[in-house]
Amino acid sequence: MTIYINSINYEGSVVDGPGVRTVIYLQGCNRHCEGCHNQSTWDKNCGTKYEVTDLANELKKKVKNKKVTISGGEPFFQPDATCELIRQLDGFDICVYTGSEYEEIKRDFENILPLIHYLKVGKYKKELRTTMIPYVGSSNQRFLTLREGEIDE
Amino acid sequence: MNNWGQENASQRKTYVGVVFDRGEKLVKNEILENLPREWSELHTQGYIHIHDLDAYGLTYNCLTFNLFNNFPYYQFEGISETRKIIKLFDYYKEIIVKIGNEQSGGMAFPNFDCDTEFLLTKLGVKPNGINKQLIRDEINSFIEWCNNSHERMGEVSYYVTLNIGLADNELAREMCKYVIDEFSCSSARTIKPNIIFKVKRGVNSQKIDRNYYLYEKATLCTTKKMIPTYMLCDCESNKSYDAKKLSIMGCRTRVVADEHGENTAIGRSNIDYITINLPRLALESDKKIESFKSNWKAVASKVKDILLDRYYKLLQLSKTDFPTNAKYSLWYKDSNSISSVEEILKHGTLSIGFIGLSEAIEILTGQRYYETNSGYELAKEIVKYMRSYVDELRNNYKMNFSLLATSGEYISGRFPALDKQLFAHKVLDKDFYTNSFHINVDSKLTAFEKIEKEGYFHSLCNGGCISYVELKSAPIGNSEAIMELLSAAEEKGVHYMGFNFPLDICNACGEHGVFDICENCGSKDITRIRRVSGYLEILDYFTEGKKAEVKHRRENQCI
Repeated sequence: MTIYINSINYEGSVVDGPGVRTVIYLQGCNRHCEGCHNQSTWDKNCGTKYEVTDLANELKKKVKNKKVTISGGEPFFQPDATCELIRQLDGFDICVYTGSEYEEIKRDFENILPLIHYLKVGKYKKELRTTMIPYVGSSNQRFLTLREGEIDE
Repeated sequence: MNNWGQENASQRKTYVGVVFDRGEKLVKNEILENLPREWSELHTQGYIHIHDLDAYGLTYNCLTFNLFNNFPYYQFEGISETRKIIKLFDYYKEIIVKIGNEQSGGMAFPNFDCDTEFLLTKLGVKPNGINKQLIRDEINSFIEWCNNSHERMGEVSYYVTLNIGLADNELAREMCKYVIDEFSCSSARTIKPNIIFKVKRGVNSQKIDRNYYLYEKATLCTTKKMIPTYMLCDCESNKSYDAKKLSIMGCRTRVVADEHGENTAIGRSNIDYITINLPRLALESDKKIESFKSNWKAVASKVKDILLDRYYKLLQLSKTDFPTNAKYSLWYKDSNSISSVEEILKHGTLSIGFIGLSEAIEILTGQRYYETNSGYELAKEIVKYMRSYVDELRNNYKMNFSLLATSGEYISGRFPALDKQLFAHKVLDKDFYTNSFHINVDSKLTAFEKIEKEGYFHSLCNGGCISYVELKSAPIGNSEAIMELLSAAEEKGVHYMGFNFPLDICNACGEHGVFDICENCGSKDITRIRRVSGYLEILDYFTEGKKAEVKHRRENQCI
């Protein structure tokens, strides 16, 4: 199975979920939020093509603390590949940044949800931009900790 | 005389400040004129920098308070519990102000949480709700006072460091919590005191530890305020000592091993310190490592003479020259038990510092030390060489000579400006030298790589050092990342660690970020806070060299 990648930040991010995280920016997004900080990820015809297995192996080799954030673009714009990548990253602390709402992910990807530890949900709204809430870009977005796919309050 | 503006990140514009400033310069010149010419020329020509020159023969540098030698319990007799609480914090302020007049540098509380609890309990203050609320308010007010009291030298606030984290009973844990909570919710412009959280396995660093919640609180506070910084009590160079006896003074001074007594920081000082300009010696060594080393040793030998001369001049003073210490005995011993100040001062350190290891190696080899294995090996060899000479001095003179990774506040700009008049080299283009053994602020190393490389030097710099991780923006809420980096740091030998990120705060709406115009409300009323030389400062007050460094800062790839 193939997956299209915009870029991978192996250097460690401290603003994309708890801990120092490697961020995989997937290619392709059709939301086109105003003020998006990553517009180079929008076009689905760009990016680097990977075999999911190769990408998973590369991450297993390079990410020593096993903390990854799958971001974009919109990860669920490539639903099968994203799910496959999550499945292959067995034993990883996985965070996913999506523009969808939790209920939508739960409806469409119920099987994969128990494998995700953190989920950032909600579309970016420029007028609600914030720098004060951990891990989100606008105050309507939510950063969820999941346990067995359910929101851990 | 010089156009370097402020020597310390501070402002002295009032009448008293101006008079102090001019007086200080006159005294410095007078001292330089009276030193042997060979020594004063080393200073004026920029081979070395004699810090706090105006205090030469008059006082020592800094002190970790020994609160218990001669605590004035008698002053607390017959007053209400409310009054006792208020009076204890008044006492803290009193000693800070008065000691500030008797010494030239910073002051530290070794275990602010435990010691405050101990004193309150001993004074008979009961831990009831009303008293605890008052203690909390007093801690809030004390923090505010540390920012607003500009009495020192007419116009400067005090360099106060609170070491916390090892609280060993419920009330002490509350003291620790109050310090962190009150600092955490303080105004954006609250940047003092320096708070150092002591990280210790079995006490606070593991989830099962009793004080883990305090460690979590501390790291969470760091994600938005850059304070606390962290002393790693389990690292290679600290693990054999009693963590309660460790303390960092001012911004990084470390005093532990003692030629004349037990290994502790409590009640002890740095007496004086001199920094050697490594890039200058490299520029004069014609790319030959051996001549660099012998040049360094020749200068270090003179530095030793100056440090000793200054120490012996202090021995001519009597305890009445230190009236607050004579009264409260915040130093090593009870003042009533000593016949001369030597009994106190001999426990202090004499420190040989250095700046610009990175530039020196770039001059000697053409590459920065962290870019090649051979460069890194050379860096280690040079610092080991310096430390072994300092140890030799310690043995020969039975004095606490120490190697200091100097905080190069003023000299980071002064040295390259002088070197530029004599040499042409690309390391001089950026107008500042990199502090101590630090990796250049514009390196492309990840935070973990930087920690790994710098960690090695922490065990060697027994007079004090710090490593920083530079983050691109505030890691709001990400205490897990701070803990992860601290855990890696401890493993690599880092003894003291801080986190830096650019912090621009909109005074109109409170927005945090990195901006000239507030991205939320459009206000141009922005306070810029950056860390320089161990203390947070408001950017306008930076020295020129540090402003140049801040321009070159590149985050360690943590975004």
